[in-house]
Amino acid sequence: MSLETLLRDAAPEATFHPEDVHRRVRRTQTRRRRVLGGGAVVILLISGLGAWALLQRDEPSEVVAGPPGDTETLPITEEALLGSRWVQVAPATTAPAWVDFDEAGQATVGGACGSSSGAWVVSEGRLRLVATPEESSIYCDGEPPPLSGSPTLDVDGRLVLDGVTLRRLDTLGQPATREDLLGAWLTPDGELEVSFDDQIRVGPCSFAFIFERGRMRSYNPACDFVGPSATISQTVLRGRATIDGEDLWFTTPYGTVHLVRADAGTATVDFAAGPWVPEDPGGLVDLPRLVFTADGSFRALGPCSTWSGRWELVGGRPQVDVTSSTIGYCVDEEGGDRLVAPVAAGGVIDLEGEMLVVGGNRFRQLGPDLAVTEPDFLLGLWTTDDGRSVEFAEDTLSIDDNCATVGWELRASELRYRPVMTCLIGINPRSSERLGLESSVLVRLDGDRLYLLREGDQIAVFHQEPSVEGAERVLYRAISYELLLDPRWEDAGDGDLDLVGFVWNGEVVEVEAAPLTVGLTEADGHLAFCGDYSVRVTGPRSAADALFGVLACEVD
Amino acid sequence: MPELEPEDFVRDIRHPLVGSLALYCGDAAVAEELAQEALAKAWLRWDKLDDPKAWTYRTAFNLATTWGRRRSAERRANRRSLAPPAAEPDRADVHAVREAVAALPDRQRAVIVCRYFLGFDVRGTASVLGCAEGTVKAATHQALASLRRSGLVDEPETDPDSVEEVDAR
Repeated sequence: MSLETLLRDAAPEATFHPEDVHRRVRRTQTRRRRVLGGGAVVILLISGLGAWALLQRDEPSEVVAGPPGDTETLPITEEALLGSRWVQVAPATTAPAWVDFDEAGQATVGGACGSSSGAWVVSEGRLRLVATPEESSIYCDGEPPPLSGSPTLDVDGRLVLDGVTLRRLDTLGQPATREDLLGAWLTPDGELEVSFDDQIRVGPCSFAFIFERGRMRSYNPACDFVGPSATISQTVLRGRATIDGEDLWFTTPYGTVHLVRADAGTATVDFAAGPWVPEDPGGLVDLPRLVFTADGSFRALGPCSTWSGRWELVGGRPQVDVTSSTIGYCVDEEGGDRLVAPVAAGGVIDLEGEMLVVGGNRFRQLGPDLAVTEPDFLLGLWTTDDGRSVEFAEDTLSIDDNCATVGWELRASELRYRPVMTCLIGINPRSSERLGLESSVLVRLDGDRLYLLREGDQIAVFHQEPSVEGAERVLYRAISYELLLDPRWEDAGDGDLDLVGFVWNGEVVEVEAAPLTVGLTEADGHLAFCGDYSVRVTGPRSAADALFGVLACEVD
Repeated sequence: MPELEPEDFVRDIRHPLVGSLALYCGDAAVAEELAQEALAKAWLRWDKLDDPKAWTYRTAFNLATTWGRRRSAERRANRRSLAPPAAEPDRADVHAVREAVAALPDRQRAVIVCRYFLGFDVRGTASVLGCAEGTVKAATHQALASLRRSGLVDEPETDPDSVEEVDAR
């Protein structure tokens, strides 16, 4: 009998069905929302940071599972769509796409070069758009954005269709005043400057204008504009103005234009100050990054491939010339390569505020402001979605549950530790091998995201997110071979339990559990409790209390 | 983005996934639980997965590895506070196979399951486990040698890339 046959005979079949997994997905989505915002969730941060603020967000009345993915969506109502133009906010562009929904069920979508119409209908919380191809107007070379499909509405009120994110214009800002307009503005691509003083200047042309009640009126708005510039100038010269800080939108029935303050969107970013990573990791673990160095060299590093060349500043934005690349193969790139691959074409990279826009994806800078200065900020368990982890304790740094090194320190945001030569490499060596054999990595911390940067490699991003699982993991860590041997529970009185055992060198370790919120449970064969506890070394070595963990306890 | 819908993916992969996890961690009930957890994680990030099959197997093996470490710690605690777990009602030969596989180190066990149960080739196994192809070949060789010593595999393997030429008792 072959080995395959033996294994087949010894392997059971699944007894669950796709519906069971879907139910679990729904439960997870609901739990995430409750952990983030539900009043029934108490989040305790047990570390030197002190108490972490309770996170409260406005709960939607109902959350439904949207299309597969991490983004939660809201049911769409007709009222949510009517009453305001919807304007593209991402990716940022000079002539954003816009959509008008009217009460007769007609939707009009426009862009830089034209518009088209179609039907819209809301049913069971979903919006469906159906284009009517013959009802389109093309002003210049180009096509209006497509108007078909089923956009989704996210919890922040953004409508997402085919990778384009739109928001209601009336939530973007407020009607501008004449004083708001004064000064110089640029289109986000930097191609066209519009300035307001006693005249309005659009590119090389000047016009007299009157601006009242949020609306521009100009005289003889004609110039030698062609193509998209004509649409832009016509929209600015005749449009209504909405302002939000450094962003300004002009709208007419036929177009929308987005401008940014000239002194806000350009030349304010030190591109060489730190690497750039996707603004929203979106579940990626190994982030791609863009690196601009002061000597003029440029690199884009994906999980599998790299692109390198030169860069220079052109009009406040980096212009890239890629001269070499190494295209790798890996099945688990999870889109990481794709995010940075557009840089291979070279040219000027769009800048939106302080974000770089590459292929429609926004990148943020991990600058010096995100450097970690206090080691306490790192204490705790940091995990990734695919099961990797790093855990900082008072004296130890553990990687992937496989490696533990004694001693680590933070110097000028650089994490230094002893290479872990004896770690037990598990089946997933990515973090263990990448980090375990290094002696230092750069650290950046942004809220609950921990970025570990290794030279010549992409960035690993870990999350310290409150979760019920976190409570269990902390306990498992406490009784694992790395911390405790021969553990035993002792009744400390007053309803408390102490977990007592020995560390590897024979010192006695005692885990003190404060009054338990949920209590010890044996229901599923796991020992788990939720509450506030710490580990204290009571042996000859007088170590300070080791604090670890973020707990989220459902108290209902 | 995968072309399959996640429901169809779950339907296609659930049996081999549970089987491989059961062989990997030696516990069918735990394999069911871990398989559902890995599939739920894949479902939640479906749009971002280029190769959901490899990702799901790797995540599932990671979860199983973590579970294995937890269990070793729990066993020590259970000796003091909990009753021993009930024995599984499986056949003796099934137990023998599972025990022989379970006795392998993590990576060798994963390689054996990937190659001889799931039918991945060396490259596919390397992709799932996130390691080099040479590592897969070496681990295969070591694992087969161990299984031969345990009596599960009778004849020496002749080509580490070949699945078919390995016979068992």
